[in-house]
Amino acid sequence: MADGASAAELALHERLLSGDPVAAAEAAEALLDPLAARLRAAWPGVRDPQLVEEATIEAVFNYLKAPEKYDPQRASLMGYLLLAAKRDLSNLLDKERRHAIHAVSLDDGSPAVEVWLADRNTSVEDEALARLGPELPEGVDRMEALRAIAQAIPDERDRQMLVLIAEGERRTSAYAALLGIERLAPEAQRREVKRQKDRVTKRAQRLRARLSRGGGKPDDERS
Amino acid sequence: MTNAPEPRTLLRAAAARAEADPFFLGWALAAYARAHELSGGELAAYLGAEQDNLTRLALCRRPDTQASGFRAQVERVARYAGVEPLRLGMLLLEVATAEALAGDADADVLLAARDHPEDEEGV
Repeated sequence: MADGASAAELALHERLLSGDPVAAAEAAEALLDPLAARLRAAWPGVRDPQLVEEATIEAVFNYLKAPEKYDPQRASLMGYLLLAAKRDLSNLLDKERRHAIHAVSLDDGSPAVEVWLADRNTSVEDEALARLGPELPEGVDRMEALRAIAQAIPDERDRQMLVLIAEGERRTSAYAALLGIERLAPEAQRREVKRQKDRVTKRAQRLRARLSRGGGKPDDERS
Repeated sequence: MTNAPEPRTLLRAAAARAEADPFFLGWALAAYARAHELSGGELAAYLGAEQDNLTRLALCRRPDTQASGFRAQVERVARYAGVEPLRLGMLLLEVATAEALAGDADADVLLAARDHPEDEEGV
């Protein structure tokens, strides 16, 4: 049934409206897993499964507590719930972003890669992935993004440098320590640090551009 | 409330969340378990059921103790979830009474007070 509720949905809906105490549990059992699956399919870039879970439960609970808000004539029950769950998920993602540090430019121009500070207990790869945002570009899944990062920035020291850049580290000494060039004269350190930062920054920009085009095959990359 | 290791499913996650919402029967189960310091297994045993039954029970709508159809609702829920109807009814009445007398925050305290007869001495 493309529009409106199915017979089974209608029967359950009527029982909820009548206040049948068992209908809520039966509805939850029938709706939660299918709704979560549809939400994941509709929003594949969300890395945290807990957010999908929360949004699913929120949408179903709101329906169980106020079934009169659903009009069976206008849409299927699953369609109605999916719309609600997407809205709840969007709100949860917005809340996640507001709790993060502001977007940081990798260079002096417009932001080439939007970055957030990530949890220090993650791997460097996870942190690099986190810098692409809690929501990956459409069509890009987490594994693909990780592979792209590993390919674009294969050197772990480069990935650690990306983390420092994203965190707004400005001290030459921090980068010099990472690069192992503390014994160079200060001016030589500064020149080498700038050269390495520019190199890593360009790679990150190309990576973001590639992912924004929909992942796909890697471009030829030169340092 | 639960104390047995169980695979986390979406249904169980929902039942856990229901414990925080007075609309659901799970809220009453959680209040009763807290007040009587019961684990999930002990609560299930009190209700004459397996612990898995508590998930279905928690997601039922909490019957209205003031409604004329309260007994029928309790029996319906008990049949659905496989629990003792009398025990379920008593649990719901106890939680509702505490809630009515003291408000949600103190419901657990009032419920627990019934377990300490020495307090009736006024000490």
